[in-house]
Order: sequence, then C-alpha cells, then structure tokens
Amino acid sequence: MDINVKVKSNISIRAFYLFFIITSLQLGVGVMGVPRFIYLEAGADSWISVLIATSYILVVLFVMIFILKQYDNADIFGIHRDLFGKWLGNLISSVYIIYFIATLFSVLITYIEVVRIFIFPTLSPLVMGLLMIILAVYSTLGGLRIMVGVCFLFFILTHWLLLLLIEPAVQIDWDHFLPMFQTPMPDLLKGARATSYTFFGIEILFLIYPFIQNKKGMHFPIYMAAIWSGLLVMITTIITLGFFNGEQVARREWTLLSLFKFQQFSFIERLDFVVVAEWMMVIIPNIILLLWGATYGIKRIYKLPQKVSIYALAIPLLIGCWLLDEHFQIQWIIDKINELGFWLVYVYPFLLLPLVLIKKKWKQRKRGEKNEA
Amino acid sequence: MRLKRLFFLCITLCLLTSCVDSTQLEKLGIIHTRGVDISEEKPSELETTLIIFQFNAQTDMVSKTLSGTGHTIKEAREQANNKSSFALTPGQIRLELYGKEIAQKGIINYLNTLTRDAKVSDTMLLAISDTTAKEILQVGQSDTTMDIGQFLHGLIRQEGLEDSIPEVALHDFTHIYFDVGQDPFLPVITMDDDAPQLAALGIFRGDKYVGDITLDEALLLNMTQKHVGFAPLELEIPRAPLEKYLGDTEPIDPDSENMYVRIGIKGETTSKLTDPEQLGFRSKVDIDVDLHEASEEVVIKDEKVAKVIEEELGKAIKKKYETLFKKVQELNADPIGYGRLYRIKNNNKLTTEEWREKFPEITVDFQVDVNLVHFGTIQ
Repeated sequence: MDINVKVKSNISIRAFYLFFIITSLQLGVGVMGVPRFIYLEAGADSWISVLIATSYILVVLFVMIFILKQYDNADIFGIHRDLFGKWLGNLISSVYIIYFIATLFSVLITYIEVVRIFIFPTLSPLVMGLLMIILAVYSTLGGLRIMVGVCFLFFILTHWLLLLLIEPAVQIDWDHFLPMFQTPMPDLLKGARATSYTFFGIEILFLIYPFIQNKKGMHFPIYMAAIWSGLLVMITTIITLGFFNGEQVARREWTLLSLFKFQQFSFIERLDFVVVAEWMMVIIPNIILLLWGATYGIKRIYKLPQKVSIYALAIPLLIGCWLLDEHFQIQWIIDKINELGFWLVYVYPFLLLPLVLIKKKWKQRKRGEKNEA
Repeated sequence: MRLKRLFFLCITLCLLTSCVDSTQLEKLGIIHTRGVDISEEKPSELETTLIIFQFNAQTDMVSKTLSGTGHTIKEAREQANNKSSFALTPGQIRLELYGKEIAQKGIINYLNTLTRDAKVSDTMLLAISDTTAKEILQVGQSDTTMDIGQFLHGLIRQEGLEDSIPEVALHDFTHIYFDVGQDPFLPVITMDDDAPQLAALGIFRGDKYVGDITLDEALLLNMTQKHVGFAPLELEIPRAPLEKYLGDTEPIDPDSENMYVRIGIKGETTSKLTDPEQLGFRSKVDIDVDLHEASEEVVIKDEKVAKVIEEELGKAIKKKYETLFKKVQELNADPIGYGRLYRIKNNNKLTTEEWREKFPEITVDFQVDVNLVHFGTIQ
C-alpha cells in the first residue's frame, strides 16, 4: 500500500464541495434529538455548550489539516502505515473502518425507528432498510463525484425545512434562558460532549483529502462547514429550549421533530409527516458517505475491490436493521459509538499530531545525515 | 435499455405501495372531539365520548357520537370502536373536553398520553365542562342543526383569535404546567338552555381545576401573557366626573351612578419583581384604547375630556386587575406567572411547592396607563 494516494484528475473534486460533504455528514439523525441531550447536562445554558463544541471542532479541524499537510497527498490509512508500520497501522485503520460501519448502522436504525413511530407503525424495518441501502449502494457505486453531487443537491433540497421553524421561533419564551451563566463549567463541558454524536462527520476529511484538486483553497469551506453545522445546532437548541420548557425537553425524544408539529397550513395540517419523510434526504448523504468511507478504507488496506465490499457490507447491514428495532437497543448502540467516536474523532488527531511531527523531523535528519555522508 | 429501466421503475413503484398499511377514508372514523369523564357506573374507570366523522354513502349523518369505558383512554377508545364498523383514528382530534370531576382530580396524566402519541396533534384545543363532558357532547349533538364538536372548537378558536381568552391548545397547557411558577388555565363550557356556551376561564392549581374567573378577567389575564390586539371589553365607570360632558340623552336607568363603555384594548401588561425580600411585584398595564360605544352619549370635544375618560378607564381596569389578583391568590394558583419572575431573580432555585407557600403572601402594585387613541367618526 502506498502512503500517498495517486488520484486521477477526472475523479478529483474542487475544495469548494468540502463544505457540502462535511455539513451533510455532520447533520443527520443526531440533530433530531440533540437539544435534549445537551439540556440534560447543561440546562438553560445549553447554547454555551454548543458554542464550546463548535469552537473545539474548529481546533480539531485545524489540527487535522496540519497533519495532512505534512504529507504530499496521503489519507489517514497511509499516515497510519507510515507511522506504525504494516501490522499496527492496519489495525488502527481497521478501527476507523469499524467506526464508519457502526455509525452507518446507527443512522439507519435510528431513522427507521423514527419513521415507524411517526408515520408507519406497522412498516417492516426490513423494507425501510432495503430501500435506503439500495439507494446507498447505487450512489456509492457511482463513485465519489456522484456522491458529492448528491450531497450538494440534498443540502439545497433540505435546508428549506428551516423556514418551518419560524412559527415556533416567534413563540420562544426567553424566560427559559434566564438566569444566564448559572451552569458550572464541568456541566457545560459535559453538555458540549453530548453534542459529539451530532457533530461526527469531520473525520471524512482524513479520507477525502487526496481527492481535493485545489488544496490551497480548502480552509475556508472546511471551517465554514463546521460553523454552519454549529449554527444550525445552536438555532435548533435555542428554539427547542425556548419553545418547550426544560421539563418537556427532558422527556421528549426527537424534540426537533416535535417542533414541526406546530406549523400548520390550510392545505397541510401535519407538517411533521412531511418533515419525517423529508428527513430521508438528510439521511441519504450520510449513509452514502459513510458507506463510501468504510469500503474505501477496506480497499486501501485489504485491497478488496470496492464493488465487492459494498455488496458484502449491505447484506449484514440489512439483516441488522431487521433484527435491531427496540428503542433501548438502538440507544445502547448509539452510546457505544458515541464513546468510540469521541476518542477517535475529537481526541485522536491530537495524539497523531506529535507523532507525525517527530517522524518528519526524524526523516529530515536522516536525509541530512545521508547528504553529509 | 431505457424502456426496460422505466418498466422496472414503474413496477417497483406499484409494488412499494403495498409495503405500508393503506387506510381508506371510507373505512375510517375520524375522531374530532373527545370528552373524558370518570364513569358513573364504574367509578374506577374512564369514560370517553367520541364525536366522529364518517364518510359512508348509506347515511346522511356525517358525524356520530360513540362512547366507551376503560381504565386508560386508549382502552376506552377501543371499546367505543367495538360499537362502530369504522376504524377510529385519533390524528384529527381538535378538541378534548374534560368533565368537571376529572379536571378537579388532575388531568396531566391524560395530557401526557396525548403527547406520547406521535400521531396526535399538539395544537388541539382543551376545555373543561362544568358538568360532565358526556352531557355537553350528547345534548349538543342531539340538537341536529349543528355538529357540537365543530361548534365548540369554533367557539373557543373565535375567542382565542379575538385575544379575549389566552391560548388554550394542548401545547400551551403543558408548557405552562411544566414551567415552575405559573399555573395553567382552560375555558369552561356550560349548558345554558340546551345550548353549550363559553362561560368562564377555569384556573388550575398544578393540573387540578380549582376555580373560575370571568371572561373579562380572562382578557386581562391574556394581556399578561402576550400583546393583545384590540380585544373588546366592557367597563363600568362612574358618571360623576364626566357629568358635564354628557349629552342630554336619557339613560336606561337614570338613577344609576355609573355608566358603561365598551372599548377595544390593545397592549400588554408587563410585570417586574420590585422587592425580592417582601415579595413585592409591580405590573405595568400599558394600553391603547378605542372607544366603541358608551351607554350614554359622551361629547369628546377636546383632549381634556379624553384625559378624564382615560383616567376613569384606568381606575376601572386597575380595580378589575385587583379583583382578579385577589381571586387567584385565594385559589393559590398563579396563572399570571409571578413565580417565573421570582425564579429568575432567585438564581433558578424555586420549586413549585415553595411557590405555593409564598404566593399567598405576595403583593402586586398595578399601574395602569391608558391612552385613548380613536373614538370613531364622531366626537
């Protein structure tokens, strides 16, 4: 396996699209329920927690870009190979792949649960799973450029949903945020940590970096993506906490979806139905990118063609969707992924950074010695 | 090749429709009003009275009343369903009416049932009956000229749109209920000569119905909740200060010392905690007023007359507010939400029980600022 990836110019993408890729992956099933999890930790000052989380993610992104810049055109798998050698490197890369598969799985089962609760209680999870996995397989087989297209289109096709939040937004009860700054710092940090599942998605940068054409122009779209996602989570958190009060938020699952229940038009009374269906468009880019990430990793490490691994993954995922349909099972899986992902996405880059720098110094010195000799 | 793909697409689309349960309108009984009571025959059970829409070619009657009993609301619905050939669906319930007895025992448990069900709309209206919900719904329904469910819904909605009563949707009730330092309220429907009418606003302590305030007071209460836009109100003001500006028309009751004016009110009441130690509050009523009608002719020649009227109206409103406040203080329920202000000033440390102890001791100073804006096309 090469450390650096040679990418043909016809499958590379412009840096501008990173914005859509990262926001698409960040905003998924997590947003539907995140205000509740933040509130349970940070109370009325939840918005500060979102602020902390977003700033922290910006720092992580900065470190990730810094690491990637130390190489010509490497991805995380190449870097692992370079730093840890073949066996250990592949092992750590495999953890990444497992993380991608697990996240993909959790997104699928969460969405299926939501559909079954809100719209079709009798729908077989197998059917829902099949529909989504067919779509995911189809677009992933199309290659990276197709996937980026999907992200871009669905970004535009889903963001109008924000307009439906205007009605609850004007009814916000600002008293709920008073008195401000009462939550102690540890709780605020716990609240920030509660956002981690929602904000997962920045790790795709480690994989997609070699495919970017104009690497100089990538800072702006990347940071903007994180800020945009942060802003959306902030908006939904503020509206949720202002519209409902704490007690209600603490007891409601998927608070964001409940907010859409309060918008009424004369031609459609129950917009939550529309929104839950529309949410499929938020989910699809998610599962496509995660499926791509997992299978691309398998191809890089184990040299298994992506076509084979996509099909090979789709079948166990489908069976999993079918078997796991209880709320607490799903919650348990999400909790586990949350823990793994937290260390992998938010902490691991900081461990990687010194190793990369040491290795680079060491290489330079070696080259220097060679030159002297 | 393209044809083949299109063919497959069409086939899949057709087949996919069978993945979910189909529900035909003709086979549904759409519940739009539900009454909840404690059953008279079986005191440990609930009794629900459902008014449903059915779209059946065989009968002309579109709406129909059903009832059933059970320990839970869903069970009662199931039992009612046994008396109907339609599948009853709760997704379009517009109004839920609670009997007096059950409202006095507390209703939050039933409201949680509603919120738990994702199919139920949170914007449905709630109301209480001063007898049983069943009586109002059944008697009203037997009067064939109107559909009682739609009638009651329209009645409450209309008052709500006029800002005469505060919002009383399911969401508003639960919101206020869960806020520490405020108590909810719901409209009360009474039976008057076989016609149901909106009679008062019921005040809750927690989730228990404890007493009523009048509809005029409901408007004043609404002003403390939101900015009210020209809601009508009739006030009684003394004649004496206006004596010299009155026209020489003969009033109905010449001996009376008072006269009546009907005004439109626009504005709101904002409250503030002024003395945290002594629990002193100040509520500032800031309103614009339109004069619609007076029981005697008032000639408003210049600003001086307007000032006098403003002053008298201010006094009358202040008096009304004080009666309202005394009433709710006696009930020990805080629909205005002074407890919320206290909670904010008190670093978020306030429990409902604490506020129950403190609320009877608070004092409120009402300051009314009336501004007479229009009085129609004649002076």
